[in-house]
Amino acid sequence: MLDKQRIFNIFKKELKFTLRDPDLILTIILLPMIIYPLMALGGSIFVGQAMQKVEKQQVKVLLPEVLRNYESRLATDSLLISFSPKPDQELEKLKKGEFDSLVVVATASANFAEKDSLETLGLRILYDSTRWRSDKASDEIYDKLQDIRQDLRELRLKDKNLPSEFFYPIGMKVKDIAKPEKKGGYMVGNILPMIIIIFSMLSAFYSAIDLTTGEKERGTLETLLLSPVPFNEIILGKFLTIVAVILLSVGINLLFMGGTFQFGLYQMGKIISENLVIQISFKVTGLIFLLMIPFAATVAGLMMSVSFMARSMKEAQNYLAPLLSIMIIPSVSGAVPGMDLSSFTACLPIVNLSLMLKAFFVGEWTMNMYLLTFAACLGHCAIVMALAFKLFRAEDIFDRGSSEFAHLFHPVPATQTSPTARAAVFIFGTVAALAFVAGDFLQNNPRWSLVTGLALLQLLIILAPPLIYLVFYRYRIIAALDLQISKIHLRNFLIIPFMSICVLIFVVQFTLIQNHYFPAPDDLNELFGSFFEIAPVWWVFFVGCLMAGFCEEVLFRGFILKGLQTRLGKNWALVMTSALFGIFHILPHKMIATGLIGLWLGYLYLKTGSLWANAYAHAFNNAIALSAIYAFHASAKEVHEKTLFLPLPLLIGALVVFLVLMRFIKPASPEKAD
Amino acid sequence: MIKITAIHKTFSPDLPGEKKVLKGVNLTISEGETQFLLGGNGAGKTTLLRIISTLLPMSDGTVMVNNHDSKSSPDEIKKSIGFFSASTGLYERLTGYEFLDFFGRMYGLDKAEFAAKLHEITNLFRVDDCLHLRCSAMSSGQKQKMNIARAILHDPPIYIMDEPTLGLDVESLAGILDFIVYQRQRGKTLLIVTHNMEMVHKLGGRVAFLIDGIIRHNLTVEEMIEASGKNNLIDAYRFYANA
Repeated sequence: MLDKQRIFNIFKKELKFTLRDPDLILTIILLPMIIYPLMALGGSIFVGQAMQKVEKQQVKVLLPEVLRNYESRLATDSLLISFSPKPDQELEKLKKGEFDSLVVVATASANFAEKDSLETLGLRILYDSTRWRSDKASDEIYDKLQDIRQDLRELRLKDKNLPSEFFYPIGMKVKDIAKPEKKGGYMVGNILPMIIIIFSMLSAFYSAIDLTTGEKERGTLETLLLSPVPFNEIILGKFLTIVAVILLSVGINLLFMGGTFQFGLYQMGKIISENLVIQISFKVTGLIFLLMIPFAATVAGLMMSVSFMARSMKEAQNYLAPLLSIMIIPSVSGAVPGMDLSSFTACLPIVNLSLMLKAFFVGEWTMNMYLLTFAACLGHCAIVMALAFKLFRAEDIFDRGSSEFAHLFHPVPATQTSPTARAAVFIFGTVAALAFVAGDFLQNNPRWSLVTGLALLQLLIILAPPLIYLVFYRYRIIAALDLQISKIHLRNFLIIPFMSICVLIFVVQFTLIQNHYFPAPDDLNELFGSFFEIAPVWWVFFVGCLMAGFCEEVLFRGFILKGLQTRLGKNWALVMTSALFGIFHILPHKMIATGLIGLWLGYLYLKTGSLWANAYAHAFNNAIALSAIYAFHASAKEVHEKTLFLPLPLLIGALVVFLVLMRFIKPASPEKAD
Repeated sequence: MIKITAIHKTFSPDLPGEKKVLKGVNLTISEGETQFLLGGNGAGKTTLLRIISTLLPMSDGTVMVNNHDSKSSPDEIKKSIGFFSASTGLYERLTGYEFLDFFGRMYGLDKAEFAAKLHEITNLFRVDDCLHLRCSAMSSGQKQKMNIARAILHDPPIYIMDEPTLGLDVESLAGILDFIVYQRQRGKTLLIVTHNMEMVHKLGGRVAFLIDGIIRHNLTVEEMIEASGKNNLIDAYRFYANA
């Protein structure tokens, strides 16, 4: 007979024990809180951009002369049409991509144009299913022709008292001209890059944990470090092992993939369909393998750095799982319509690999693009390795007796004046999650205006979490956030506006170049302009300058930069915080410009040690931006379109003024005033 | 010779949870001397051993081992010491031979030197059976022997042991005692952290007490018993630990 009380007692104790595990709390509460918003955000930016590109992409269709009467109904902004007496003779142009779709006459109708004709014009829409532009073109022209068919049918049957099924004025068939090899490559090109990338990351996942925290837990790292070998050599040995494991995984994947396609699926393909042939040459296999080497090194360096920061294998898994999830998002690039390998995408980590692998499978790759992708992968690898060596410190391996993470759950002494690096990451994640979950509710609420919504967002989502953390853990808020009145220096307040203007000149220059290559969506300018239509001017300036200046500075400089600095040192903390500041502004077109402003504000904070100086600089920066929008909203777009470079004397002047004024900024005093 | 001067160690300095473990430790161990280090759990004994072995950096102070400064020549210090403890692990997926071979290479032994050392080790510890056994399949005693074998491969002048008898059966314990006696006869310097008072009593030597982050007492076993007026070492330990 089961004793319910005993079972309940065991259950109670186990639950208490389990819920007191900080790692578990990280896994079941914090991770979902952070990872889903981040994934959704990344995904929406990523896929949203691509979909927008697909929607706006102009496609070219060649039509037969017989349809010229319907030109005005067929052409749209994105559908560029032209006519030819014999479109079927232009098949080569479709193959080369000069046209995205051809409409050819399959069954001619001599009387088609006559009003009472009941003859059917047979059309064949030719397209290449392996090119998304061609797909889009055939879909759009099909829809347009269907509309015309429906109208013609109604018009010509109007007085004849016949059922609509009786007559089809236009008959349409769609034909795919892609070769079986290309179709096969396209099909696998959507999936296989993702599989190869995920497999290689998974193999790194386990080996990175095993060789770092796994060794720490088993005590063998201590044994190894006792031998007279420099720490860097041990790290490099481990790093090379992880790279080798990844490459082994990639090699086995390619081997079996190639084998399966050459001998397995190919044979099956013959039986099932002659339309699908998958072939991967040895040369391509070799090139893929070579490309995977810098990628493997990047993944190995990244995963090893992260797992070395953990104290246990469980903790390492908790760190690496979200990292892995985030890295998987760009690996699906190959399958996203609208994503093409270009000189820009070839530089994006993982995205470039996914697109390059797809290009290989489809057979549409160039050596130049391959070399660019390879160079970009090497660049990513160099950045990660620099970061990894910055993070690896032999002493940290045994110097983590007291868990920094535990500080999130246990009170800290009231004398502390700086949050920990982990608290900084935790608070950023929390703010990002809250902004994602509640941001839309606050900003687009019918009960108040968008500007009031932004004010609430600043106060409740950006300012409140770091303040709550500091209050809860009994920090001295004024000292922790460097808000002492004694740190305000009049000289800095006079200099900062001039330095801000210099920075803004460079930000504008960057934005002009960015807009030239990647034009900002029109609705972005309209959005900012609309602030002044829905709220009083003073309220827009109050929220946009003073509130945003203060709240964002508390979060980014006062909390995150200061926290990260304890772990990463000034320079890396500055770069990381600026990147997070850019990412936080969500709009892809603002990210880098905001990141640059973040660098300036971070520099200012490190130099002056006063958050007041920062709030002032931030408010000043926003005031200039808002004033520009308020004054030149209508003509701003034209200026952007016409100008690529600001006058060189202006840029040099701004640089000189900035460098000179840097020397006059009054730095933080060495002793800490509470 | 080991000379430790004014060692301070603070974990997570200037961070919430800052922990001062060592607050000015001074200790000198002469060549050929056996020094025991006693102290309660969490007193900082392992931290001190790790600092001496250069596994951990100290916040302040100096460590000289065999006339090498730990800050400027950590690798020379590692060559001078053989460190083993209950927590130094074995590579479970390697065989005993592979394990020793790897560390032989790490210590820069050539093939002939390694073969000679392996011969000596197998004679000393009778670990022939273990050499072709994966470390995961070894018993606790065999694992401890392999650990010691690894620590003596390069024949260092100094041995540092952190609780070497923890969790061992009587036979293995006797093996450790034999090893210590043998090394002492060879004139090696020994620094041993232990809670095994019977071992301290049996082997004799100097005993230092690490209490509240500093060395409070450092005297011989005989002086310990005599000065405390107790008739056994456990009571003498209590006397000094609470003094």
